[in-house]
Amino acid sequence: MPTAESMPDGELAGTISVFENTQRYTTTFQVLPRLSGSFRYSILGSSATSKTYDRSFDFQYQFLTETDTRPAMAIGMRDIMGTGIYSSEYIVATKTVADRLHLTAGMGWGRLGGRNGFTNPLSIFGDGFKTRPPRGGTGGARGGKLTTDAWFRGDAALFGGLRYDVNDRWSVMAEYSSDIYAEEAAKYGFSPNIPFNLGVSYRFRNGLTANGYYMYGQSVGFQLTYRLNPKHPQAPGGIGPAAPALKPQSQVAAASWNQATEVSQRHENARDVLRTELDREGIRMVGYDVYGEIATVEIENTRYDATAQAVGRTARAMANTLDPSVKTFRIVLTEGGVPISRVTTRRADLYTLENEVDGSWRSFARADIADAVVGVRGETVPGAWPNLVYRFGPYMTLSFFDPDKPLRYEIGAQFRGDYVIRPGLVLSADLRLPLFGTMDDVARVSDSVLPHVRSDWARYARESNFRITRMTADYYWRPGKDLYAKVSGGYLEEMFGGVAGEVLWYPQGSKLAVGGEIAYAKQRNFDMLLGFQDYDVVTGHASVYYDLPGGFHAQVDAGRYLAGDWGATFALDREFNNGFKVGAFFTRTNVSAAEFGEGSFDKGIRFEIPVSWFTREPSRETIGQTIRPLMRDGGARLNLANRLYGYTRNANGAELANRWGRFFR
Amino acid sequence: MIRWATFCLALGTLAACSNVDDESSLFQTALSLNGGKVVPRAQALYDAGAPQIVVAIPRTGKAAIMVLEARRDGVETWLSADGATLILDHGMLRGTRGLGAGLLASDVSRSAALIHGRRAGNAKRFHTSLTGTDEAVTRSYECRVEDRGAQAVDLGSRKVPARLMAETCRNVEQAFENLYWVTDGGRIVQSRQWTGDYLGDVSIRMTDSQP
Repeated sequence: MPTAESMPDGELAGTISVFENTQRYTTTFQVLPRLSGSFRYSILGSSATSKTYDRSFDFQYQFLTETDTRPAMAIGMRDIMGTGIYSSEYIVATKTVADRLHLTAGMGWGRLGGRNGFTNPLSIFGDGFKTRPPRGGTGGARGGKLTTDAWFRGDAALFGGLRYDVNDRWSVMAEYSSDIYAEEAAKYGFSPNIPFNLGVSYRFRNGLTANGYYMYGQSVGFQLTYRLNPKHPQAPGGIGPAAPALKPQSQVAAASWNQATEVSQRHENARDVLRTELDREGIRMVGYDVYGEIATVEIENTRYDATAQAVGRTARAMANTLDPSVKTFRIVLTEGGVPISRVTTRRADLYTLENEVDGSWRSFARADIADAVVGVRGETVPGAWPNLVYRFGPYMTLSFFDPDKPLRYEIGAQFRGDYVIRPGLVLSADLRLPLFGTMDDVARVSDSVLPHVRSDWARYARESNFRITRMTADYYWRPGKDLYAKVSGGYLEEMFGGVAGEVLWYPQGSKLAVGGEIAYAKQRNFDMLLGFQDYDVVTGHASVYYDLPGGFHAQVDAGRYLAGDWGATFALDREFNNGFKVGAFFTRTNVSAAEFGEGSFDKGIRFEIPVSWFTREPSRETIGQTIRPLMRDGGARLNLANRLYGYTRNANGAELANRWGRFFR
Repeated sequence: MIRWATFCLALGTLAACSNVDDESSLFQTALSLNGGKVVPRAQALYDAGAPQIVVAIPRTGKAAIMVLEARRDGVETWLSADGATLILDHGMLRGTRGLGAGLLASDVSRSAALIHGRRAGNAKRFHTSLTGTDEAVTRSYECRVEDRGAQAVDLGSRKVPARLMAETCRNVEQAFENLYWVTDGGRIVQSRQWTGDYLGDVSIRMTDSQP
């Protein structure tokens, strides 16, 4: 039974529920304070032959918030596209009485209009509302389309219930259900004896809630929910070591390296001290120059997910090292040796603002953030290039919703290395050795009528062992102010190799960025080693990125996809300042639903979680997962690594500003 | 031993909490929640005999020695072995780092004037903390400072006469109470001060090694 309650803004909930021969896995995201969306994967039936697998999307909008005198009210729609097993709509009101008793009553259509249904009150607007098209009669022959012509149609019915919070941990629930389980009755003969359910709920301290139900006078159900809020990481601000405290200038002047009589010698001595200091902080100094009162360092942030934290630490290390004659610090942020942005701070401001109550805000106001392509840059530090960064460790990949096995996984060993020969010129490799998993026992063969650019993924898993996931030579450069460019060649991704070029316009602090890329890609052999197949394609996209208000981020990519189809991908993400992202996307191309196959078009939801969110330690690593109902060949984009927007975004003025609170962390 | 020290400190009791026998092990205790390695600069300061304070966090049951890392314009930065810091201004907590959601900065000058002067009165204080989404949020608190009478503080080798000053603060959403043991000279030798919702209180005691 739906209620009109909302979760706190931004909250994510994952629910597993088991009842009779039904399993449901649901993820709910509170997109906006009043709007939530859910994605549900259900398995109905018990025997292998009669099982139904269903994916569905729900929305709920709370159009009235609760006050002393009125209940909260919400309108919701379940299973709004495709086959519509759970297709239903409702209007519901919930009122809390004496803080502990939550009373709910509502009216439902579709599945929720099954018991004691009455003629749809909306039929005053037309007889069309009186009948609901049968399930499967809408939503597209291939599924995946909106079932608009069924919404709020057919008989309506009333439902209601209550929840009583015994204390902080325990609640008891009772409800009258208007759902007659027609689908389940047909599937495995389940039919409610009585329309009532009773339940009990226990909330653990760690965000887990366990529910048990006695349902319809005949069976028992269980539900487990885990809730987390992206706004509240394990430790706000993290728990990594503090930056070295600012020393008095007299103490810095008295340091051994600042004793040389020649000022230039002092600066040279300080360079090596500073470099060591920064190394300890996970910051690689690649350039250094002191000219008069201005010191410039070029750094690579290798540790901090918040770039402002790397900048703040560099500035303090400079203040603790450089001769007091230096008054201005310029910190150039680089990626792979390519300069992106430059933050200029006055040394005196650091001392004044370090412990000021509004120091964070004032340090931002006084800092100057500019593009790093023009003006003075640091002189390359000896030994800065070439530079090798590598990582050897485990990897895990997941695949969802294969009817034979809804969750497939693969675990193995991975080597990733980046060898930066000189600034901008990088050789990269990503090698994998799968050790165990269930990806490679997929028996189904792709039935796609399009070129098999993605749908043969299981064949890649099956026919490969040791893999070259990626092996490229890349060159990054700055063609001018606000502009970034890159060319790549080699084994670009798991299934394609070739050459690619990209250009991005992204001014410092801008909400808007625009880019374009073009690639010639040839399909790789299933063994994922050096060979290629016959299929090749010229693919490319023009992209627009925009930072919307309220922490939303929109991206549109329009162009030609791998199967040669033309179209556009629309993506909307909610991005929390700490790097946690939750989003959804879809792609429409000139491939028809019939050609595309099941699902009609490509779509999915995605998550990106900074590792520091869990571990509390600073880290630039993130965990990402894209969940598609189906992986098919239409609207498939080349999966290039290090696209320029993502590559430069952390060091862009916009991101620096967003997380400036970390400057003095 | 460490737990016992925590207990004594956390309660701020006058029970004879003797100085810890094995000081270096108390130094190496990680103060942050899952803190790990000893940071080299903390070890170097400890080895060089830098001034020390004993700090305990009642909520986590952890206690550790912190060493003086820097003193600039009267503001001291104290460093734990695992790199967490407390920033003290003549004994008043001004900030924390590396302890999670700590105090980024604060303005406690009005409270400090009353407490150092061992006078009762009302004062406003301001805390800036880092949120889970990396925003610096400043909150203000209305505080009442009162004298709770004479209480000697045991600094291990000697007992120091002091008065217990209590500062009770609140705003619409939060409330806390800080305790300070202040000597005749106006010096805070022991205290229990609130850092924020995440970590709660820290207990701080000066040691004889402090100049």
